[in-house]
Parts: sequence; C-alpha cells; structure tokens
Amino acid sequence: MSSSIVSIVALLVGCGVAWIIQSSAILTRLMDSLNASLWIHAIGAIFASLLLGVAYLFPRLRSYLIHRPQNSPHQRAPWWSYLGGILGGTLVAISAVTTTSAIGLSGTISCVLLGQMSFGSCADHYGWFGLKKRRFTRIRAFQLILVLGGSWILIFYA
Amino acid sequence: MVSMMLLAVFGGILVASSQMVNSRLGGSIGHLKGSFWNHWVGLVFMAGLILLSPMHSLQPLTTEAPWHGYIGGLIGVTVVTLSNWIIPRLGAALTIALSVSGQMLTGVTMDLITDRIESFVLGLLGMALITLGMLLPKLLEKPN
Repeated sequence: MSSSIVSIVALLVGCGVAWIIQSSAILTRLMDSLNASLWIHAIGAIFASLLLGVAYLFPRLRSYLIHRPQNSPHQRAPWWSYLGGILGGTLVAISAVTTTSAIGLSGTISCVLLGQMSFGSCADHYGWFGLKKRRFTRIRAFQLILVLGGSWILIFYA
Repeated sequence: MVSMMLLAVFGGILVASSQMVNSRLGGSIGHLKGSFWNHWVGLVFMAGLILLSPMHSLQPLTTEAPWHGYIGGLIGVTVVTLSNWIIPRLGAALTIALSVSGQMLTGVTMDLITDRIESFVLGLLGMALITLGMLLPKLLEKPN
C-alpha cells in the first residue's frame, strides 16, 4: 500500500484522538479523570470483544481482523508486549496530577507531546521495541520542531 | 513547576512506549487482538489504581452525559488497531508526528466552529507550521 494512504490514515487516527480527548472531557465533568478513563477503557474493551466475536463468526472478516500479519518479522509476542495498556493508564494518572498543578492542562499537553515525539524518534533511530531502524535525519528534526512549535502556538495562544 | 513539567514529559514517553509496545503485540497476534489486550489490561489496571488510591473511589457510569461522551472507547479501539498497523509501515516518529498533526488540526477546527478561538491569526500560523512539518519529508526527501 502506498505510503501516502498510510499517512492519511495516520492523520485520521489523530482526528480520532481529538474526539477521545473531547469525550473524556465530557465524562470528567461528571466524575474524576481516573474514572472517566476507566469507563472509556471499559466501553472499548467490550467493543473490542464484540468485534472479535463477530470476526470469529464470519470467516472472511476473520482473515482481515484476527490472523497474524503476514509480512510481520515477529513470530511470537513477548510477555512485555501485553503491558501497553498499563503504560497508557499510567499517563492518565500522571496527567490527573499535572493538570491540577501550576502547569495546567496546556502545559501538560505540551510536555506530553514533547516526550512522545522525541521518544518516538529515539526508538526509531535505535530500533527499540522491535522496530526497523530509521535514522534521525535533519529533515526529521525540522519536522519535529515544526509540528511541536505549531502545536505549542495552538495550545498557548490560539 | 519544573518537576511537574518533567513528569508530563515522562507521561509522553509512556504514551509513545504504549503505542510501540502495542504495535509489537499486534505484529505477532493481529492488530485488533492487540487493541483488545490494550483495552482489557488498561481497564484492569485503572480499576486497581482507583481501588488502591485513597483519594479515589469507583464512580458509576451515569446516563447524564450526552451520547458523544461515551463513544471515546469505540474510537479508542479503532485508533489503537490502526496505529498498530501504521507504526511498522511509517516508523514511530512519523506515525506520531502525523497523528499529533491530525489531533491538533481537528482540535483547532473544533474551536473555530464553536467560536472558541482567541486569536485567528495565531491559529492559522499554528496550522500552517504543522502542515509544513507534515509535508516536509514529502517535499525534501529523495524518493527511493
């Protein structure tokens, strides 16, 4: 598949993230942020289970949704790969603390983006987490600065 | 202040790790199954955290919220499944840069529609920088 299509899907994923933030903000008006995240996870867990159930019923869907990706270099899943949900949950707990501190919501989002983007670049460069090595080039550095700078302007001034 | 900033940066490292760890899982067992485990493990972890924390207690899901308060979980499953599929293809850095761009552009568009934007000019400047950043590899990298 062409990398442009994959890139557009990645952009759409970001639209999805904006929606998730919006719905968790709505739930946070009725409960604390940990509980909001708990219920979002619960609805997601049930939805994923339903999707898997449906996929098992229909063989054609099964090959799309369940089978191990054909072109993946990794045969077996290591134990730590099951723990991604814990890392995401820890962020929720951390942001419950930082958003109520002096740096607030804007400061929290800006710092999270900084950590997320730079760590992603490191992982690519060194090939962590079983990723294919992709060098951190000058273009990548400029891209990081532009996206991060633009985001900070939007977060703090717009 | 600085310690809170460092804590939030660490939070960002956790988000990126979570995405890459889950994509590694999806690469072995299928991306939807990867998203399934991500949500169940996250749910159990959040429940444990709330039960163990002296400052928090389990709160019931009320029906007071508008419908779009509840669809975050549905979108979450889709987002994790897709990001599992994208990361091996584009690499973590580009996947994150593009999804952050999509997230910020959607956010500012929502603000524009609901007229909550403070400075239209700076909003446009932010959008322009992000768009330029997104397109930069396409503009400058030699096609292989």
